[in-house]
Amino acid sequence: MESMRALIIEDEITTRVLLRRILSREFGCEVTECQNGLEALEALSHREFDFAVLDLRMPVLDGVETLDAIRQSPGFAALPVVVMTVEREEGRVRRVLELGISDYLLKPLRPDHVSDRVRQLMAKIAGARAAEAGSRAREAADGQPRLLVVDGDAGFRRLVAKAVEGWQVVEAESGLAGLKQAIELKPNVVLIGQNLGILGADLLLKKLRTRDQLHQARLCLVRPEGSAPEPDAHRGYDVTVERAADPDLMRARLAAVLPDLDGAADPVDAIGVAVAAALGQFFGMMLSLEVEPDPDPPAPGDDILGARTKLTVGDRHRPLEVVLRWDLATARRLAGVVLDVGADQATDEDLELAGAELARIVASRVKTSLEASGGRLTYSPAVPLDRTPLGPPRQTLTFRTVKDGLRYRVDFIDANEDDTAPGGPVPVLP
Amino acid sequence: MTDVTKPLRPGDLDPLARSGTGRSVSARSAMPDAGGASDLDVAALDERLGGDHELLSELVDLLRSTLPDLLARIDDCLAAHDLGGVREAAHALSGAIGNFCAPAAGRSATALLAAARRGDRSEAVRARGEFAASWQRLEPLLVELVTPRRG
Repeated sequence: MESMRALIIEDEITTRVLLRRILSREFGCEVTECQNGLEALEALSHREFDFAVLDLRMPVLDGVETLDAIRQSPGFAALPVVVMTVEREEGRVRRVLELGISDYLLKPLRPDHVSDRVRQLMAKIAGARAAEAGSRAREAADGQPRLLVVDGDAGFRRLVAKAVEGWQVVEAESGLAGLKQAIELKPNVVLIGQNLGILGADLLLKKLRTRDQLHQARLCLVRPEGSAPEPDAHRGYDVTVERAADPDLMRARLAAVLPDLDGAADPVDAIGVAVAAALGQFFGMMLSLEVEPDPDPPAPGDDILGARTKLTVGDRHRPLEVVLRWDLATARRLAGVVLDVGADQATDEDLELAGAELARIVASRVKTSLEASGGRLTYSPAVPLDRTPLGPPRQTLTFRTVKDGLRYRVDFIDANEDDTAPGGPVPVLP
Repeated sequence: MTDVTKPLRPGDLDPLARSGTGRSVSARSAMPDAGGASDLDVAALDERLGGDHELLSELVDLLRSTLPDLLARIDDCLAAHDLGGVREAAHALSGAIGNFCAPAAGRSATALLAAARRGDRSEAVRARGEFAASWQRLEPLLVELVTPRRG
Protein backbone atom coordinates (compact mmCIF):
# COMPACT_ATOMS: atom_id res chain seq x y z
CA MET A 1 0.00 0.00 0.00
CA GLU A 2 1.30 3.46 -0.88
CA SER A 3 2.58 5.57 2.00
CA MET A 4 -0.10 7.88 3.36
CA ARG A 5 0.12 11.32 4.91
CA ALA A 6 -1.48 11.47 8.33
CA LEU A 7 -2.30 14.51 10.42
CA ILE A 8 -2.45 14.06 14.19
CA ILE A 9 -4.36 16.79 16.02
CA GLU A 10 -3.94 16.31 19.76
CA ASP A 11 -2.80 18.57 22.55
CA GLU A 12 -1.59 15.82 24.85
CA ILE A 13 1.95 14.82 23.99
CA THR A 14 2.08 11.20 25.16
CA THR A 15 -0.98 10.37 23.09
CA ARG A 16 0.58 12.12 20.11
CA VAL A 17 3.76 10.11 20.50
CA LEU A 18 1.81 6.88 20.79
CA LEU A 19 -0.11 7.66 17.63
CA ARG A 20 2.92 8.88 15.71
CA ARG A 21 4.74 5.69 16.52
CA ILE A 22 1.93 3.45 15.35
CA LEU A 23 1.25 5.43 12.20
CA SER A 24 4.85 5.85 11.13
CA ARG A 25 6.39 2.58 12.23
CA GLU A 26 3.56 0.17 11.64
CA PHE A 27 1.96 1.78 8.62
CA GLY A 28 4.80 3.82 7.14
CA CYS A 29 2.74 7.00 7.27
CA GLU A 30 4.28 10.39 6.86
CA VAL A 31 3.06 12.06 10.05
CA THR A 32 2.46 15.72 10.84
CA GLU A 33 1.53 16.67 14.40
CA CYS A 34 -0.55 19.62 15.55
CA GLN A 35 -1.42 20.61 19.09
CA ASN A 36 -4.75 22.23 18.36
CA GLY A 37 -7.32 22.90 15.69
CA LEU A 38 -5.86 26.19 14.54
CA GLU A 39 -2.49 24.61 13.84
CA ALA A 40 -4.28 21.81 12.02
CA LEU A 41 -6.22 24.15 9.74
CA GLU A 42 -2.99 25.95 8.99
CA ALA A 43 -1.30 22.65 8.11
CA LEU A 44 -4.25 21.59 5.97
CA SER A 45 -4.12 24.82 4.01
CA HIS A 46 -0.50 24.20 3.07
CA ARG A 47 -0.47 20.55 2.15
CA GLU A 48 -2.64 17.56 1.42
CA PHE A 49 -3.30 14.77 3.88
CA ASP A 50 -4.85 11.37 3.38
CA PHE A 51 -6.52 11.33 6.78
CA ALA A 52 -6.55 13.01 10.17
CA VAL A 53 -6.78 11.72 13.72
CA LEU A 54 -8.47 14.38 15.81
CA ASP A 55 -8.87 14.77 19.56
CA LEU A 56 -12.27 16.19 20.49
CA ARG A 57 -11.23 18.20 23.52
CA MET A 58 -8.40 20.63 22.91
CA PRO A 59 -7.59 24.21 23.78
CA VAL A 60 -7.80 27.10 21.30
CA LEU A 61 -10.04 25.39 18.74
CA ASP A 62 -11.56 22.16 20.00
CA GLY A 63 -12.18 19.00 18.03
CA VAL A 64 -15.80 19.68 17.11
CA GLU A 65 -14.98 23.21 15.95
CA THR A 66 -12.03 21.90 13.99
CA LEU A 67 -14.11 19.19 12.35
CA ASP A 68 -16.76 21.77 11.51
CA ALA A 69 -14.14 24.00 9.89
CA ILE A 70 -12.74 21.07 7.94
CA ARG A 71 -16.15 20.08 6.63
CA GLN A 72 -16.90 23.64 5.57
CA SER A 73 -13.66 24.00 3.65
CA PRO A 74 -14.08 23.14 -0.02
CA GLY A 75 -10.41 22.20 -0.18
CA PHE A 76 -10.54 19.40 2.37
CA ALA A 77 -14.20 18.88 3.25
CA ALA A 78 -13.99 15.21 2.33
CA LEU A 79 -10.90 14.49 4.44
CA PRO A 80 -11.35 11.18 6.31
CA VAL A 81 -11.25 12.00 10.02
CA VAL A 82 -10.97 9.64 12.97
CA VAL A 83 -11.92 11.24 16.27
CA MET A 84 -10.50 10.39 19.67
CA THR A 85 -12.67 10.91 22.69
CA VAL A 86 -13.31 10.07 26.28
CA GLU A 87 -16.56 11.98 26.03
CA ARG A 88 -19.98 10.51 26.31
CA GLU A 89 -21.61 13.85 26.01
CA GLU A 90 -24.53 13.29 23.69
CA GLY A 91 -24.55 16.74 22.11
CA ARG A 92 -20.88 16.53 21.20
CA VAL A 93 -21.17 13.01 19.79
CA ARG A 94 -24.27 13.94 17.85
CA ARG A 95 -22.57 16.97 16.31
CA VAL A 96 -19.53 14.91 15.37
CA LEU A 97 -21.72 12.29 13.71
CA GLU A 98 -23.63 14.95 11.83
CA LEU A 99 -20.42 16.46 10.55
CA GLY A 100 -19.25 13.06 9.44
CA ILE A 101 -16.34 10.99 10.67
CA SER A 102 -14.68 7.90 9.33
CA ASP A 103 -14.22 6.24 12.69
CA TYR A 104 -13.63 6.88 16.38
CA LEU A 105 -11.13 5.83 19.02
CA LEU A 106 -11.87 5.76 22.74
CA LYS A 107 -9.23 7.05 25.11
CA PRO A 108 -6.98 5.95 26.65
CA LEU A 109 -5.75 4.50 23.39
CA ARG A 110 -4.85 0.88 23.03
CA PRO A 111 -2.18 0.47 20.35
CA ASP A 112 -3.61 -2.82 19.07
CA HIS A 113 -7.03 -1.23 18.77
CA VAL A 114 -5.59 1.82 17.03
CA SER A 115 -3.73 -0.44 14.60
CA ASP A 116 -6.90 -2.33 13.70
CA ARG A 117 -8.84 0.86 13.08
CA VAL A 118 -6.06 2.50 11.08
CA ARG A 119 -5.67 -0.62 8.97
CA GLN A 120 -9.38 -0.58 8.17
CA LEU A 121 -9.33 3.11 7.41
CA MET A 122 -6.35 2.88 5.10
CA ALA A 123 -7.89 -0.06 3.26
CA LYS A 124 -11.08 1.97 2.85
CA ILE A 125 -9.18 4.98 1.53
CA ALA A 126 -7.17 2.82 -0.87
CA GLY A 127 -10.38 1.09 -2.04
CA ALA A 128 -12.12 4.38 -2.69
CA ARG A 129 -9.15 5.61 -4.68
CA ALA A 130 -9.01 2.45 -6.74
CA ALA A 131 -12.74 2.74 -7.49
CA GLU A 132 -12.29 6.36 -8.47
CA ALA A 133 -9.36 5.51 -10.72
CA GLY A 134 -11.35 2.66 -12.28
CA SER A 135 -14.28 4.94 -12.93
CA ARG A 136 -12.03 7.52 -14.54
CA ALA A 137 -10.31 4.87 -16.64
CA ARG A 138 -13.67 3.53 -17.82
CA GLU A 139 -14.85 6.96 -18.80
CA ALA A 140 -11.58 7.71 -20.54
CA ALA A 141 -11.77 4.44 -22.45
CA ASP A 142 -15.11 4.91 -24.06
CA GLY A 143 -16.68 8.00 -22.62
CA GLN A 144 -19.99 6.49 -21.57
CA PRO A 145 -21.23 3.72 -19.31
CA ARG A 146 -22.93 0.81 -21.08
CA LEU A 147 -26.50 -0.36 -20.68
CA LEU A 148 -27.54 -3.68 -22.19
CA VAL A 149 -31.27 -4.07 -22.70
CA VAL A 150 -32.36 -7.66 -23.30
CA ASP A 151 -35.98 -7.87 -24.40
CA GLY A 152 -37.97 -9.62 -27.10
CA ASP A 153 -39.92 -6.45 -27.87
CA ALA A 154 -38.00 -4.23 -30.30
CA GLY A 155 -40.31 -1.30 -29.49
CA PHE A 156 -39.44 -1.50 -25.82
CA ARG A 157 -35.72 -1.68 -26.59
CA ARG A 158 -35.93 1.45 -28.70
CA LEU A 159 -37.97 3.17 -26.03
CA VAL A 160 -35.24 2.45 -23.49
CA ALA A 161 -32.57 3.65 -25.89
CA LYS A 162 -34.41 6.95 -26.25
CA ALA A 163 -35.23 7.25 -22.57
CA VAL A 164 -31.71 7.23 -21.17
CA GLU A 165 -29.16 9.92 -21.74
CA GLY A 166 -25.44 9.67 -21.24
CA TRP A 167 -25.43 5.89 -21.68
CA GLN A 168 -24.28 3.73 -24.54
CA VAL A 169 -27.30 1.45 -25.06
CA VAL A 170 -26.81 -1.97 -26.61
CA GLU A 171 -29.82 -4.09 -27.56
CA ALA A 172 -30.29 -7.84 -27.51
CA GLU A 173 -33.49 -9.51 -28.69
CA SER A 174 -33.14 -12.76 -26.74
CA GLY A 175 -31.58 -14.23 -23.64
CA LEU A 176 -28.90 -16.00 -25.68
CA ALA A 177 -27.99 -12.82 -27.57
CA GLY A 178 -28.01 -10.93 -24.31
CA LEU A 179 -25.59 -13.38 -22.71
CA LYS A 180 -23.23 -13.10 -25.67
CA GLN A 181 -23.36 -9.30 -25.66
CA ALA A 182 -22.86 -9.13 -21.92
CA ILE A 183 -19.72 -11.25 -22.08
CA GLU A 184 -18.31 -9.19 -24.95
CA LEU A 185 -19.24 -5.71 -23.76
CA LYS A 186 -19.12 -6.03 -19.97
CA PRO A 187 -22.00 -3.59 -19.47
CA ASN A 188 -22.46 -1.58 -16.30
CA VAL A 189 -26.17 -2.38 -16.21
CA VAL A 190 -28.24 -5.17 -17.78
CA LEU A 191 -32.00 -4.72 -18.10
CA ILE A 192 -33.59 -8.16 -18.33
CA GLY A 193 -37.06 -7.98 -19.86
CA GLN A 194 -39.63 -10.33 -21.42
CA ASN A 195 -39.98 -12.81 -24.31
CA LEU A 196 -36.37 -13.87 -24.21
CA GLY A 197 -36.79 -17.25 -25.86
CA ILE A 198 -35.12 -20.42 -24.66
CA LEU A 199 -32.82 -18.63 -22.23
CA GLY A 200 -35.41 -16.95 -20.01
CA ALA A 201 -34.88 -14.15 -17.54
CA ASP A 202 -34.02 -16.22 -14.48
CA LEU A 203 -31.68 -18.50 -16.39
CA LEU A 204 -29.97 -15.52 -18.00
CA LEU A 205 -29.58 -13.98 -14.55
CA LYS A 206 -27.98 -17.17 -13.29
CA LYS A 207 -25.57 -17.30 -16.24
CA LEU A 208 -24.59 -13.67 -15.81
CA ARG A 209 -24.00 -14.15 -12.09
CA THR A 210 -21.47 -16.91 -12.72
CA ARG A 211 -19.30 -14.70 -14.91
CA ASP A 212 -16.46 -13.14 -12.94
CA GLN A 213 -15.99 -10.32 -15.41
CA LEU A 214 -19.61 -9.26 -14.83
CA HIS A 215 -19.55 -9.24 -11.06
CA GLN A 216 -19.84 -5.46 -10.95
CA ALA A 217 -22.70 -5.27 -13.43
CA ARG A 218 -26.03 -4.21 -12.00
CA LEU A 219 -28.66 -6.77 -13.03
CA CYS A 220 -32.13 -5.31 -13.23
CA LEU A 221 -35.36 -7.20 -13.88
CA VAL A 222 -37.96 -5.34 -15.94
CA ARG A 223 -41.24 -6.53 -14.46
CA PRO A 224 -44.60 -6.29 -16.29
CA GLU A 225 -46.46 -3.02 -16.20
CA GLY A 226 -48.91 -2.81 -13.32
CA SER A 227 -47.18 -5.55 -11.31
CA ALA A 228 -46.41 -4.89 -7.69
CA PRO A 229 -42.86 -5.34 -6.46
CA GLU A 230 -42.83 -8.62 -4.50
CA PRO A 231 -40.05 -9.77 -2.25
CA ASP A 232 -39.36 -12.74 -4.54
CA ALA A 233 -39.00 -10.44 -7.51
CA HIS A 234 -35.86 -9.07 -5.91
CA ARG A 235 -34.32 -12.45 -5.31
CA GLY A 236 -31.15 -12.65 -7.29
CA TYR A 237 -31.62 -9.32 -9.03
CA ASP A 238 -30.02 -6.17 -7.81
CA VAL A 239 -33.18 -4.24 -8.43
CA THR A 240 -36.44 -4.39 -10.41
CA VAL A 241 -38.12 -1.73 -12.50
CA GLU A 242 -41.69 -1.61 -13.72
CA ARG A 243 -42.18 -1.59 -17.48
CA ALA A 244 -43.87 1.44 -19.02
CA ALA A 245 -45.10 2.15 -22.52
CA ASP A 246 -44.89 5.88 -21.98
CA PRO A 247 -41.34 7.17 -22.65
CA ASP A 248 -41.42 9.81 -19.92
CA LEU A 249 -42.63 7.38 -17.32
CA MET A 250 -40.04 4.81 -18.40
CA ARG A 251 -37.36 7.49 -18.23
CA ALA A 252 -38.36 8.38 -14.66
CA ARG A 253 -38.42 4.74 -13.62
CA LEU A 254 -35.06 4.00 -15.19
CA ALA A 255 -33.56 7.10 -13.63
CA ALA A 256 -34.37 5.58 -10.26
CA VAL A 257 -32.45 2.37 -10.89
CA LEU A 258 -29.50 3.42 -13.01
CA PRO A 259 -26.39 4.05 -10.91
CA ASP A 260 -24.60 7.35 -11.20
CA LEU A 261 -21.25 5.73 -12.03
CA ASP A 262 -19.46 8.81 -10.84
CA GLY A 263 -17.65 7.19 -7.99
CA ALA A 264 -20.74 6.38 -5.98
CA ALA A 265 -22.76 3.46 -7.23
CA ASP A 266 -26.30 2.93 -6.05
CA PRO A 267 -27.32 5.67 -3.61
CA VAL A 268 -29.03 2.97 -1.56
CA ASP A 269 -25.65 1.34 -1.04
CA ALA A 270 -24.24 4.68 0.07
CA ILE A 271 -27.11 5.06 2.53
CA GLY A 272 -26.51 1.57 3.88
CA VAL A 273 -22.85 2.31 4.49
CA ALA A 274 -23.63 5.65 6.12
CA VAL A 275 -26.35 4.19 8.35
CA ALA A 276 -24.11 1.35 9.49
CA ALA A 277 -21.28 3.80 10.19
CA ALA A 278 -23.51 6.21 12.11
CA LEU A 279 -24.99 3.49 14.30
CA GLY A 280 -21.64 1.88 14.98
CA GLN A 281 -20.05 5.20 15.85
CA PHE A 282 -22.94 6.31 18.05
CA PHE A 283 -23.08 3.06 20.00
CA GLY A 284 -19.30 3.03 20.30
CA MET A 285 -18.87 6.59 21.49
CA MET A 286 -21.94 6.84 23.67
CA LEU A 287 -22.23 3.35 25.10
CA SER A 288 -18.72 1.99 24.58
CA LEU A 289 -20.27 -0.84 22.64
CA GLU A 290 -18.38 -2.31 19.72
CA VAL A 291 -20.73 -3.31 16.94
CA GLU A 292 -20.36 -6.06 14.38
CA PRO A 293 -22.61 -7.47 11.65
CA ASP A 294 -24.94 -10.09 13.09
CA PRO A 295 -24.39 -13.45 11.41
CA ASP A 296 -27.60 -14.84 12.91
CA PRO A 297 -30.12 -12.03 12.64
CA PRO A 298 -33.34 -12.16 14.62
CA ALA A 299 -36.62 -12.07 12.77
CA PRO A 300 -38.56 -8.86 13.24
CA GLY A 301 -41.17 -9.26 15.97
CA ASP A 302 -43.76 -7.23 17.80
CA ASP A 303 -41.52 -6.89 20.83
CA ILE A 304 -38.81 -5.12 18.86
CA LEU A 305 -38.93 -1.46 19.69
CA GLY A 306 -37.57 1.28 17.56
CA ALA A 307 -38.23 4.24 15.41
CA ARG A 308 -38.84 4.77 11.77
CA THR A 309 -37.71 7.49 9.52
CA LYS A 310 -38.14 8.00 5.84
CA LEU A 311 -35.24 9.19 3.77
CA THR A 312 -35.78 10.49 0.28
CA VAL A 313 -32.71 10.35 -1.86
CA GLY A 314 -31.84 13.33 -4.04
CA ASP A 315 -33.79 13.85 -7.20
CA ARG A 316 -34.12 10.17 -7.87
CA HIS A 317 -37.80 10.22 -6.98
CA ARG A 318 -37.32 7.00 -5.17
CA PRO A 319 -38.43 7.34 -1.59
CA LEU A 320 -36.73 4.97 0.73
CA GLU A 321 -37.70 4.24 4.29
CA VAL A 322 -34.93 3.44 6.68
CA VAL A 323 -36.41 1.59 9.63
CA LEU A 324 -34.34 1.20 12.77
CA ARG A 325 -35.22 -1.43 15.34
CA TRP A 326 -33.41 -2.64 18.40
CA ASP A 327 -34.11 -4.88 21.34
CA LEU A 328 -35.40 -3.69 24.69
CA ALA A 329 -32.03 -3.81 26.47
CA THR A 330 -30.47 -1.64 23.77
CA ALA A 331 -33.42 0.72 23.81
CA ARG A 332 -33.10 1.20 27.57
CA ARG A 333 -29.40 1.93 27.39
CA LEU A 334 -30.04 4.28 24.54
CA ALA A 335 -32.69 6.15 26.51
CA GLY A 336 -30.23 6.34 29.39
CA VAL A 337 -27.65 8.25 27.38
CA VAL A 338 -29.89 10.22 25.04
CA LEU A 339 -32.44 11.37 27.62
CA ASP A 340 -30.29 11.00 30.69
CA VAL A 341 -32.82 8.83 32.50
CA GLY A 342 -32.00 5.73 34.52
CA ALA A 343 -32.23 2.65 32.32
CA ASP A 344 -34.77 1.11 34.71
CA GLN A 345 -36.84 4.25 34.89
CA ALA A 346 -37.26 4.70 31.13
CA THR A 347 -40.93 4.74 30.12
CA ASP A 348 -42.26 3.54 26.78
CA GLU A 349 -42.42 7.16 25.75
CA ASP A 350 -38.76 7.63 26.69
CA LEU A 351 -37.80 4.62 24.61
CA GLU A 352 -39.73 5.98 21.68
CA LEU A 353 -38.21 9.44 22.05
CA ALA A 354 -34.69 8.06 22.30
CA GLY A 355 -35.27 5.93 19.21
CA ALA A 356 -36.62 8.89 17.28
CA GLU A 357 -33.61 10.94 18.30
CA LEU A 358 -31.21 8.26 17.14
CA ALA A 359 -33.11 8.04 13.85
CA ARG A 360 -32.68 11.78 13.46
CA ILE A 361 -28.96 11.53 14.13
CA VAL A 362 -28.66 8.73 11.60
CA ALA A 363 -30.59 10.76 9.02
CA SER A 364 -28.27 13.72 9.55
CA ARG A 365 -25.24 11.49 9.16
CA VAL A 366 -26.62 10.02 5.93
CA LYS A 367 -27.24 13.50 4.64
CA THR A 368 -23.62 14.43 5.30
CA SER A 369 -22.41 11.36 3.43
CA LEU A 370 -24.65 11.92 0.46
CA GLU A 371 -23.75 15.56 0.20
CA ALA A 372 -20.08 14.66 0.27
CA SER A 373 -20.71 12.58 -2.86
CA GLY A 374 -22.92 15.19 -4.49
CA GLY A 375 -26.27 13.68 -3.51
CA ARG A 376 -29.20 15.23 -1.71
CA LEU A 377 -31.55 14.03 0.95
CA THR A 378 -34.70 15.02 2.74
CA TYR A 379 -36.31 13.16 5.57
CA SER A 380 -39.53 12.91 7.44
CA PRO A 381 -39.44 12.93 11.21
CA ALA A 382 -39.28 9.55 12.87
CA VAL A 383 -42.60 7.98 13.73
CA PRO A 384 -43.37 5.00 15.96
CA LEU A 385 -43.16 1.68 14.21
CA ASP A 386 -46.71 0.57 14.80
CA ARG A 387 -48.43 3.44 12.99
CA THR A 388 -48.42 1.82 9.58
CA PRO A 389 -47.53 -1.62 8.29
CA LEU A 390 -44.10 -2.05 6.77
CA GLY A 391 -43.50 -3.22 3.25
CA PRO A 392 -41.05 -5.97 2.39
CA PRO A 393 -37.48 -4.80 2.90
CA ARG A 394 -35.33 -4.31 -0.13
CA GLN A 395 -32.26 -4.74 2.00
CA THR A 396 -31.65 -5.46 5.66
CA LEU A 397 -28.60 -4.82 7.79
CA THR A 398 -28.37 -6.57 11.14
CA PHE A 399 -25.87 -5.89 13.86
CA ARG A 400 -25.05 -6.95 17.37
CA THR A 401 -22.82 -5.55 20.03
CA VAL A 402 -19.67 -7.60 20.48
CA LYS A 403 -19.66 -7.81 24.26
CA ASP A 404 -23.29 -7.81 25.31
CA GLY A 405 -24.91 -9.34 22.24
CA LEU A 406 -27.47 -6.53 22.05
CA ARG A 407 -29.14 -6.57 18.67
CA TYR A 408 -30.52 -4.14 16.23
CA ARG A 409 -31.51 -4.16 12.62
CA VAL A 410 -32.05 -1.68 9.84
CA ASP A 411 -34.54 -2.34 7.04
CA PHE A 412 -34.47 -0.43 3.78
CA ILE A 413 -37.95 -0.38 2.33
CA ASP A 414 -39.22 1.01 -0.94
CA ALA A 415 -41.97 3.49 -0.19
CA ASN A 416 -44.58 5.28 -2.26
CA GLU A 417 -43.82 8.88 -3.04
CA ASP A 418 -47.05 10.07 -1.46
CA ASP A 419 -46.49 8.02 1.68
CA THR A 420 -45.12 10.91 3.66
CA ALA A 421 -45.41 11.65 7.32
CA PRO A 422 -47.62 14.59 8.34
CA GLY A 423 -46.06 17.72 7.02
CA GLY A 424 -44.23 15.88 4.27
CA PRO A 425 -40.51 15.49 3.83
CA VAL A 426 -38.46 18.17 5.49
CA PRO A 427 -34.84 19.03 4.94
CA VAL A 428 -32.45 17.62 7.48
CA LEU A 429 -30.95 20.56 9.26
CA PRO A 430 -27.60 20.54 11.00
CA MET B 1 23.91 -5.46 33.56
CA THR B 2 20.44 -6.75 32.93
CA ASP B 3 18.91 -5.68 29.68
CA VAL B 4 15.29 -5.58 28.86
CA THR B 5 14.51 -7.85 25.99
CA LYS B 6 11.69 -7.22 23.57
CA PRO B 7 8.88 -7.93 23.59
CA LEU B 8 8.57 -6.90 27.18
CA ARG B 9 6.59 -9.37 29.24
CA PRO B 10 5.30 -9.04 32.79
CA GLY B 11 7.73 -11.70 33.94
CA ASP B 12 10.63 -9.62 32.64
CA LEU B 13 9.57 -6.64 34.60
CA ASP B 14 9.82 -8.07 38.10
CA PRO B 15 13.59 -8.34 38.40
CA LEU B 16 13.97 -4.88 36.96
CA ALA B 17 11.39 -3.49 39.26
CA ARG B 18 13.05 -4.96 42.32
CA SER B 19 16.28 -3.22 41.52
CA GLY B 20 17.17 0.28 42.63
CA THR B 21 14.73 1.14 45.35
CA GLY B 22 14.22 -2.42 46.43
CA ARG B 23 10.49 -2.04 46.16
CA SER B 24 8.63 -4.73 44.34
CA VAL B 25 6.41 -4.13 41.38
CA SER B 26 4.29 -7.20 41.05
CA ALA B 27 2.73 -8.13 37.75
CA ARG B 28 -0.75 -7.20 38.84
CA SER B 29 -0.74 -4.81 41.68
CA ALA B 30 2.02 -2.59 42.87
CA MET B 31 2.50 -0.44 45.91
CA PRO B 32 -0.96 -0.46 47.42
CA ASP B 33 -1.94 3.01 48.50
CA ALA B 34 -3.83 3.97 51.61
CA GLY B 35 -7.11 3.03 49.95
CA GLY B 36 -5.75 -0.33 48.88
CA ALA B 37 -5.84 0.46 45.16
CA SER B 38 -2.85 -0.19 42.92
CA ASP B 39 -0.59 2.58 41.75
CA LEU B 40 0.60 0.84 38.63
CA ASP B 41 -0.92 -2.09 36.81
CA VAL B 42 2.20 -3.37 35.09
CA ALA B 43 0.53 -6.25 33.31
CA ALA B 44 -2.14 -4.01 31.86
CA LEU B 45 0.47 -1.46 30.82
CA ASP B 46 2.55 -4.15 29.20
CA GLU B 47 -0.47 -5.47 27.34
CA ARG B 48 -1.54 -2.04 26.26
CA LEU B 49 1.85 -1.20 24.80
CA GLY B 50 2.36 -4.63 23.32
CA GLY B 51 5.54 -5.17 25.31
CA ASP B 52 7.27 -2.28 23.57
CA HIS B 53 9.81 -1.19 26.15
CA GLU B 54 11.28 1.51 23.96
CA LEU B 55 7.89 3.13 23.59
CA LEU B 56 7.28 2.86 27.31
CA SER B 57 10.59 4.58 28.00
CA GLU B 58 9.74 7.37 25.59
CA LEU B 59 6.30 7.85 27.12
CA VAL B 60 7.63 7.85 30.66
CA ASP B 61 10.30 10.43 29.74
CA LEU B 62 7.66 12.60 28.15
CA LEU B 63 5.34 12.32 31.09
CA ARG B 64 8.08 13.21 33.55
CA SER B 65 9.20 16.18 31.49
CA THR B 66 5.74 17.62 30.86
CA LEU B 67 4.03 16.94 34.17
CA PRO B 68 5.76 19.66 36.22
CA ASP B 69 4.57 22.39 33.84
CA LEU B 70 1.10 20.94 33.74
CA LEU B 71 0.85 20.77 37.51
CA ALA B 72 2.24 24.30 37.82
CA ARG B 73 -0.46 25.46 35.42
CA ILE B 74 -3.12 23.77 37.52
CA ASP B 75 -1.74 25.34 40.70
CA ASP B 76 -1.66 28.79 39.11
CA CYS B 77 -5.23 28.43 37.92
CA LEU B 78 -6.37 27.16 41.31
CA ALA B 79 -4.69 30.12 42.98
CA ALA B 80 -6.38 32.48 40.54
CA HIS B 81 -9.75 30.72 41.02
CA ASP B 82 -9.69 30.04 37.29
CA LEU B 83 -11.58 26.74 37.19
CA GLY B 84 -11.87 26.90 33.40
CA GLY B 85 -8.10 26.84 33.22
CA VAL B 86 -7.97 24.03 35.76
CA ARG B 87 -10.44 22.06 33.66
CA GLU B 88 -8.34 22.47 30.53
CA ALA B 89 -5.12 21.44 32.25
CA ALA B 90 -6.79 18.62 34.18
CA HIS B 91 -8.11 17.24 30.92
CA ALA B 92 -4.57 17.08 29.57
CA LEU B 93 -3.37 15.57 32.85
CA SER B 94 -6.10 12.95 32.79
CA GLY B 95 -5.30 12.11 29.16
CA ALA B 96 -1.60 11.77 29.86
CA ILE B 97 -1.98 9.64 32.96
CA GLY B 98 -4.64 7.55 31.23
CA ASN B 99 -1.96 6.06 29.00
CA PHE B 100 -0.10 4.51 31.96
CA CYS B 101 -2.57 2.15 33.62
CA ALA B 102 -2.07 3.96 36.89
CA PRO B 103 -5.43 3.64 38.67
CA ALA B 104 -4.78 5.86 41.71
CA ALA B 105 -3.26 8.75 39.76
CA GLY B 106 -5.89 8.32 37.06
CA ARG B 107 -8.67 8.51 39.62
CA SER B 108 -7.36 11.67 41.22
CA ALA B 109 -6.81 13.31 37.81
CA THR B 110 -10.39 12.43 36.86
CA ALA B 111 -11.65 13.74 40.20
CA LEU B 112 -9.78 16.99 39.59
CA LEU B 113 -11.31 17.31 36.14
CA ALA B 114 -14.79 16.55 37.46
CA ALA B 115 -14.43 19.07 40.29
CA ALA B 116 -13.26 21.76 37.85
CA ARG B 117 -16.20 21.04 35.60
CA ARG B 118 -18.58 21.35 38.54
CA GLY B 119 -16.88 24.56 39.59
CA ASP B 120 -16.05 23.02 42.97
CA ARG B 121 -12.72 24.63 43.85
CA SER B 122 -12.25 23.07 47.28
CA GLU B 123 -12.80 19.59 45.85
CA ALA B 124 -10.38 20.47 43.04
CA VAL B 125 -7.74 21.47 45.61
CA ARG B 126 -8.30 18.20 47.46
CA ALA B 127 -8.02 16.16 44.24
CA ARG B 128 -4.86 18.06 43.29
CA GLY B 129 -3.32 17.07 46.62
CA GLU B 130 -4.36 13.48 46.09
CA PHE B 131 -2.78 13.50 42.67
CA ALA B 132 0.47 14.82 44.08
CA ALA B 133 0.58 11.95 46.56
CA SER B 134 -0.20 9.33 43.96
CA TRP B 135 2.34 10.77 41.53
CA GLN B 136 4.95 10.65 44.25
CA ARG B 137 4.37 6.92 44.50
CA LEU B 138 3.95 6.36 40.77
CA GLU B 139 6.97 8.19 39.40
CA PRO B 140 9.63 5.96 40.97
CA LEU B 141 7.75 2.88 39.84
CA LEU B 142 7.74 4.11 36.26
CA VAL B 143 11.41 5.03 36.47
CA GLU B 144 12.25 1.59 37.78
CA LEU B 145 10.27 0.02 35.03
CA VAL B 146 12.21 1.70 32.26
CA THR B 147 15.67 1.84 33.77
CA PRO B 148 17.91 -1.10 32.83
CA ARG B 149 19.34 -2.72 35.93
CA ARG B 150 23.05 -2.42 36.42
CA GLY B 151 24.71 -5.15 38.30
